[in-house]
Amino acid sequence: MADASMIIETRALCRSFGATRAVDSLDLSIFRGEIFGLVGPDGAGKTTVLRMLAAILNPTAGHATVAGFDTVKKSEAIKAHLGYMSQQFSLYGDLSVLENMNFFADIFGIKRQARAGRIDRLLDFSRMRKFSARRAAQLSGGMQKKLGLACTLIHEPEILLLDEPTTGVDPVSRREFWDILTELHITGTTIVVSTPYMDEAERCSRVGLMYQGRLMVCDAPSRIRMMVDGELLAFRPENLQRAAALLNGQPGVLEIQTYGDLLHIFVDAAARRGPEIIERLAQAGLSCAGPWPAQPRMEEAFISLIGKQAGK
Amino acid sequence: MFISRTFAIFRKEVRHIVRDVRVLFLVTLAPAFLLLMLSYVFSLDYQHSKVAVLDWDKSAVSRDFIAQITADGDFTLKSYLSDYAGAEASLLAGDADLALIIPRGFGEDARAGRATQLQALVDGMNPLSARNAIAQLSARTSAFAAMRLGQSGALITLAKTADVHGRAWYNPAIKTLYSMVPGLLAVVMFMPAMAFTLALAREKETGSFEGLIATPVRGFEYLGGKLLAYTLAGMVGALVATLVAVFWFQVPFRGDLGTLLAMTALYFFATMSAGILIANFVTSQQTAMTIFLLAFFLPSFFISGLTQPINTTSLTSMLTSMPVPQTHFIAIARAIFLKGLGWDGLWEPALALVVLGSIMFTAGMLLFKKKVS
Repeated sequence: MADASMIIETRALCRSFGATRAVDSLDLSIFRGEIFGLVGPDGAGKTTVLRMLAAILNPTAGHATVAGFDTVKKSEAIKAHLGYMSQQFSLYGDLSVLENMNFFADIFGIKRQARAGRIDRLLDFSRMRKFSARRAAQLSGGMQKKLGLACTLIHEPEILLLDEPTTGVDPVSRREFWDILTELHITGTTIVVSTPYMDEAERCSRVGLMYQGRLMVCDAPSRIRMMVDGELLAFRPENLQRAAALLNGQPGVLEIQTYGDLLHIFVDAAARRGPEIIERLAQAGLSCAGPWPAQPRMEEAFISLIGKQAGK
Repeated sequence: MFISRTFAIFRKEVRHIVRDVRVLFLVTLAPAFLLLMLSYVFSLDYQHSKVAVLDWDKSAVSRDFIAQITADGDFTLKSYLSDYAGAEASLLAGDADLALIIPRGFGEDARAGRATQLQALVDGMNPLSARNAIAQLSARTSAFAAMRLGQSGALITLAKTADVHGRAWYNPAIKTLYSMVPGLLAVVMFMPAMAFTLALAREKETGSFEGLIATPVRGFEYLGGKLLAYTLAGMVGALVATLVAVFWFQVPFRGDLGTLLAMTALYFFATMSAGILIANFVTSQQTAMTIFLLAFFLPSFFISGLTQPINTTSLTSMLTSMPVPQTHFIAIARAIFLKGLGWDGLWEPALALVVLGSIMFTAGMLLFKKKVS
């Protein structure tokens, strides 16, 4: 390994399905103790990357090392160090919460003495104690995800690979789930999590932005936010569509994104272009509130970066 | 490690079987149900034949003979006829399935030990049931000559039937039911293996397989634990189906129940190993079931010796029937039921099941990959 603290490393990792390149020459370095976020639209290749890291899918080219083991040659050695949670609910619906946890404890060979305490802690940790006798199929979506996480944590893995663990989960459960991840992060577990949600991406130590199988950017959220060219101004025009159409191609306007009833406009110089934009809209008979200076968030940065890539 | 993980899979699988009513039914009760249905479909002689009799002899012997063949109820005496035209008419009208003509002097000849002939007219519309009726009639005729008259069974023959049976040792009444039910018992015992194959496909379909292959569980442990669970549950099914054969169909059971169950376990090993092989290539239960039915259920009826004996002199017929586990298990089940054979008489088909199972299990294991497809 190039770096002692590097726990996951991929070099020119590729995976094709027929003619489709799901993952294209991925170079990724993830360090011990990170929460690494894989973000990107549907079909960007996030799931394929995680499956290759979990050693349950072989790459068509390139290679990956996880916890010091090659994912193809030493695929079975990796699995003791790893907790992998797929996007689909992968537990047994007709087994109870406790039975599911015990099953995975058996599979990972957790000894009797260690087991009782660990399951106890996981039940508290995931706030599932009340439901320990309930069949998994009868749990809510959010609780199923928490049970899935509890089962992947039963052997206290060094590395957690989570594939969209909060998709389809209500906002309260999502927050709760991330609080659990933060606690794990503090104890030193390396977490790789894929998510379509930008607010979750903000909670990661580093984020890899994937689009069409390629890694576009890989950096800390704060630095990704800065990557967008220009300054961001927010406006509230009376007719969003017309205003956006009018301003497209206006000098100094780099990019326009609609955001609720707001227009987010990236400009080369905020002080000069703000009044210009208001004037342009007034000429066309459109009144407009603003401008307000705004901080670009991951969301804007993400859309902007993808827009540029798609435009190429 | 290996034992405890196999046991973990086994225990989980038993819970699945017990908690899912459909699976539980498929494994424990469905074979018996299928046996009930198929036995009636395939046992043609179970349907009674209606007999019209034209008795030219009108002797004590001929009356005794008529009473004798209709005694067990398989032949029902429908009417007495007065001439040939009546015989033909009753067959045409469907009043009778079989017309029996007893010639003048039948009784005297039979008692004196002179060869004599009876004539049977059969409605040939359904050749299978016609042949069956003739076969049964000739068996009863021989039995009558031998037991009532103390004469050779070949004394009285049926005219125009080439296949006069000698006395059948293991199935004296030559009831096809007796050989059919044990054969069908072997056929219906494919169901636990089908449930097993569906369970393998279900893990892939529901996504639990993806979670499982990311753990250190080995293919051998995963498949072995599942196989054990379904074998055990299948034994219950085998027991229920055997009870149906013995108590409902009254098929004589001359062998040993323990031997039958042990052989059933070998049969499960062979068929479930085929299931492992199949499950490697499918990701849905639907496909798994289709392949399993086409590969197992259907051939059972045609190439495994269930409905007609395997032609051991034809290479093609041997090559198609020997690799099929049913062939061997049908032979085993019949031999245990009707001949009461034990391990010493059955080691050949038993070995065939073990060999077939081992080949498919090994191939299935080699093809099994802890990867998503």
